[in-house]
Amino acid sequence: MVTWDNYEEYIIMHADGELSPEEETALQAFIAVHPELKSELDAYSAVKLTPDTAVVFANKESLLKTAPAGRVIGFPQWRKYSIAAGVALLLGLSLYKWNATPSVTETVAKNDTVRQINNTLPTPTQNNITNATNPKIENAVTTNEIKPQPVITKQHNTTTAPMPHEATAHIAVKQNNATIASNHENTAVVRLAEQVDKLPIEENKMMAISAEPTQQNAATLAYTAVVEEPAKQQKSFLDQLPIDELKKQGIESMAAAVANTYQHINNLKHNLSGKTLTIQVEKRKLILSF
Amino acid sequence: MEQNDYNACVQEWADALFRFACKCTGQAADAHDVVQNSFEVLWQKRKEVQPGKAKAFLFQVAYRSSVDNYRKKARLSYDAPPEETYTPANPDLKKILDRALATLDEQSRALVLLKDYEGYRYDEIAQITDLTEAQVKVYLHRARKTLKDYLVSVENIL
Repeated sequence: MVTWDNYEEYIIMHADGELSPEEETALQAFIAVHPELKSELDAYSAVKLTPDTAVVFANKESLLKTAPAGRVIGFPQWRKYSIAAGVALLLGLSLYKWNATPSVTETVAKNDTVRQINNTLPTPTQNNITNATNPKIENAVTTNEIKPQPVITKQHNTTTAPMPHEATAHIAVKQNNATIASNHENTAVVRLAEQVDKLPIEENKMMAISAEPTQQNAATLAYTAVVEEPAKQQKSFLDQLPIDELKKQGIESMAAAVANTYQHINNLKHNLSGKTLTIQVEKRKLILSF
Repeated sequence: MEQNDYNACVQEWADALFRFACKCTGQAADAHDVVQNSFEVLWQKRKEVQPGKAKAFLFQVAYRSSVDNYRKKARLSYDAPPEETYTPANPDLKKILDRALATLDEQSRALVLLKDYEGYRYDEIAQITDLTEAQVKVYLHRARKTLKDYLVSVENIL
């Protein structure tokens, strides 16, 4: 309700366009009753400012953005990203080095292992072969022990149901192959795989073995061929070196240590495969997938 | 808000913001800085500002910049803006109102400009200036009364 106490507030709100239709009607009714307020209403309506459209911002182009939003990077942020990129690069290079082809030293290490085993392996006529460092190898050797046929048969009869003689021998060979597959990087087992062919098994048993060569066995033999070839080269290379035997042994030890390290790194690489490494710098994340 | 929205804001609101800043600061150079700063802040906050709220955001930043700039310089008097145009129908009224506006403090002047230039409602002005709606109403009414009294007094002299 418009009164003498609040009419001025109503007039200002009228000038500002803030009155509701009902309030506007009430104000007009009050002014109609008091026409002397009409001049005051006009005065407040006159103090309405209007923008001068001739005044404009001269250089709007300087405000426009033309570069893609994501590429505007300040120098301090760039520096943070460069640190993260550097860390990622170091990790990447390290992994790349690990993934690279084995170096000459690593090849030497493998070949030395083969040579050492060649020296220690028994002749086919020996019966007792033990390898304390690898129980699987020991088992493999035990099953390959060259004994009279009845002994082999007895050994397998203790764990399997009675079966024909050929089948028993076949199982023994298959067991050897399985062990070889699981240890195909162990040269001792590779050598034993060759011994399988030298076993004095009856001709028909050999035929059974040859008729059903497993894929693992083929891969193992191929691996043996690959490993043995550089072994010969390495042997001649070491022999040509004008160093005494003690130093050669030292080199062999070093090579073995390097090979061991290589194996550890390989294991680490396998553990890392399929994993992701996340580096977070403030709100930015760098994700490395291996 | 994307880059295109931002550039559309520049085209649509840069002039109005500059006029507002000119009246608030009284200096075209200061107004230029205020406009540049306002759009820079909008660009930095573009992901948080909806296109429909960009104008209010710009005037909010410009209002704060203008008032801060004005207070920082501790101006004791308002310099009339150099750009003056006159409406042919009533050439003196515009000049008188500019002088009347110069008598207001920077906050009241900004409120009047937001109301008259941009047509914001009381509640919208309250959001832009971080005042309550009641405060906006009181300050604006006080400013209107000052402007009206100035206008009436000049008319009486003339």
